[in-house]
Amino acid sequence: MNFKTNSCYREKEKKLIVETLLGGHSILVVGKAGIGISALLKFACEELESKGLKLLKIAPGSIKQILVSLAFQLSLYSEDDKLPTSPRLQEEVVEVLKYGNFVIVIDEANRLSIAVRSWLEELHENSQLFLLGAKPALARDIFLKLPRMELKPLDYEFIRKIISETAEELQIELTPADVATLQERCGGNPMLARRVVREYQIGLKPNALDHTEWINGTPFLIAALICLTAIRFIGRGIGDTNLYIFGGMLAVVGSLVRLFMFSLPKGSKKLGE
Amino acid sequence: MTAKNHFLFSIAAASLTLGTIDPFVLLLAGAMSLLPDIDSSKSVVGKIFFPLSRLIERHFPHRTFTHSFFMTAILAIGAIPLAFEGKEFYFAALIGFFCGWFLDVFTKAGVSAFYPMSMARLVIPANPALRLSTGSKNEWFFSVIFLALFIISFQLHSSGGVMQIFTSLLAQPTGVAELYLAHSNKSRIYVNLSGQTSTGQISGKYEVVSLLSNNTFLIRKENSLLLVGDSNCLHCQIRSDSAKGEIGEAIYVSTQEVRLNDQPISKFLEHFSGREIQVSGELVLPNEEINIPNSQMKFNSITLTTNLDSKSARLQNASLEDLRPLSKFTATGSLIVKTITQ
Repeated sequence: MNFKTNSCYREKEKKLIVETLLGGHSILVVGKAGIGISALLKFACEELESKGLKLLKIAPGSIKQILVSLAFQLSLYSEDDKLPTSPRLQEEVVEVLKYGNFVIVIDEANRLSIAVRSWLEELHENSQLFLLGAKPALARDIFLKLPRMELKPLDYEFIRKIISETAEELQIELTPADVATLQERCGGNPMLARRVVREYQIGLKPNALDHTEWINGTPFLIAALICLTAIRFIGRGIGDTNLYIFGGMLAVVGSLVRLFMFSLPKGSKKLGE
Repeated sequence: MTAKNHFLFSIAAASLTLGTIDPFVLLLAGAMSLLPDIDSSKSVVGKIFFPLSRLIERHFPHRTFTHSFFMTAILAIGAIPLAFEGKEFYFAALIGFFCGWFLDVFTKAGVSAFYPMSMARLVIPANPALRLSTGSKNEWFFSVIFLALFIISFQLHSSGGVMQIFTSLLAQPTGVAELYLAHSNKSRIYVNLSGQTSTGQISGKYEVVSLLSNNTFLIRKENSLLLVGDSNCLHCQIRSDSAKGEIGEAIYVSTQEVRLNDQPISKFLEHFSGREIQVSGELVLPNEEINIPNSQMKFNSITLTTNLDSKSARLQNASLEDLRPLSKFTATGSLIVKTITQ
């Protein structure tokens, strides 16, 4: 959660997270890589802290590392103390969490091991509040049980601001035409918006654009070509042999294009591949 | 894609879809194909309309709202006044604009075709490695293809259009029939025919006189009419193996209705004397002996029927010569006279 930006471009989502947690409910924020989950969590945490909520921010790790981090944040032990065994530490942490109004915040929660997730699931069943951020693929245990908010691509006006901010940080000058062209390469992904400015600075012109907001138009093109088959039936209907044969030939061309297009190697749908 | 490719593709597409080689129509399509790139001040049209292109690129990423179905729909409504100048101009403007942005679907970045519903970019094909980079060397390859497409289209339309060439290649009577329907009011239509008659093979170039159905027509051979059809036509005098239509010299065709009320046919013949006419209709004649030779070897333009107290003659594409045997009679009836002048 280390961001130079001081602007939150997802005020609506932030407000919803804050209201959900203040209302006593946990929430899971999901989204594609680079879509801005960490930034949103950072701004939401600042808001929650300002409203007096006690946040326990932990990084994904082993159960022992997480327990130690929680014990320090709950002031159960200091760094100089000798820590008890993990089961004992777990009992103590659970006991404190039971009686305090804490929110456990974990970014990149998809990296948590199954053992940690099972323990968190237990805590969730005991009414522990969570604010988790994760990639969208996970649909099991605690990720299935928590209310889920999926982040959509950022509005292009905000992407433009991020590009301008990054250009300012890097002390490079971008014309509106440069910004409009760079926006083509990042879609609504703020992480890519920063990256394309750095690529521009060092003079890279990447061959592949790896945002994921694509619509494959191939089926539309094939459908349009297949519609030409209708000419054949019109020819038959009106008794025009030439039109019938011509339509048949167009149908064959449509089928050949279809065969060719579908035999092309498919690109990856994942970002960066 | 570069402006050059947009221009070439649009004029080729407009020429093929509209079936025209009118330079004004094609130039309009080509000019409109450059318009979607007004969202970039680096483009040709962006430089021409600089304040507007700068304004657009300050608010929108490249290839978004100007490269969308939404903008095409706005143009389709906004350009309606152009339709009053000529439908071709209206459709050329639309085809040019649509082709202008649709070609960018094949580039790496694609276009936001579904703006404002979605900013997701429409691309073909899905694999980015197979899509084009704007300004890359591969664009030359496409320039050559589009130019070839335009030259082919130009050739096709100079020779009467795609369907006409196709039907000419098939050499079927339906093709001749279509050609006759399309051009017979302004030009003579000839057919280069080879086929079978009851006495043997026939081949040569003959004038098409009339259509009887969408795959049978009459030709004139030495003052006789012959019915031509395909190989399945049993009542035709000629069953064609190959029939290729050809547009001949320009003519002026007028049609008029003539009513005879117990009037001599000789007067009718006198009136139209020296003119090339084709007469169709029905006449009631006195019940006298009339000698009109009928033959199965040719198409009979006059068919006589004997009634109780009169005779009736059914005329179909009869010429002045065909009517001569009736000149001494008076007749009642209505005739459609088609007059052909050079």
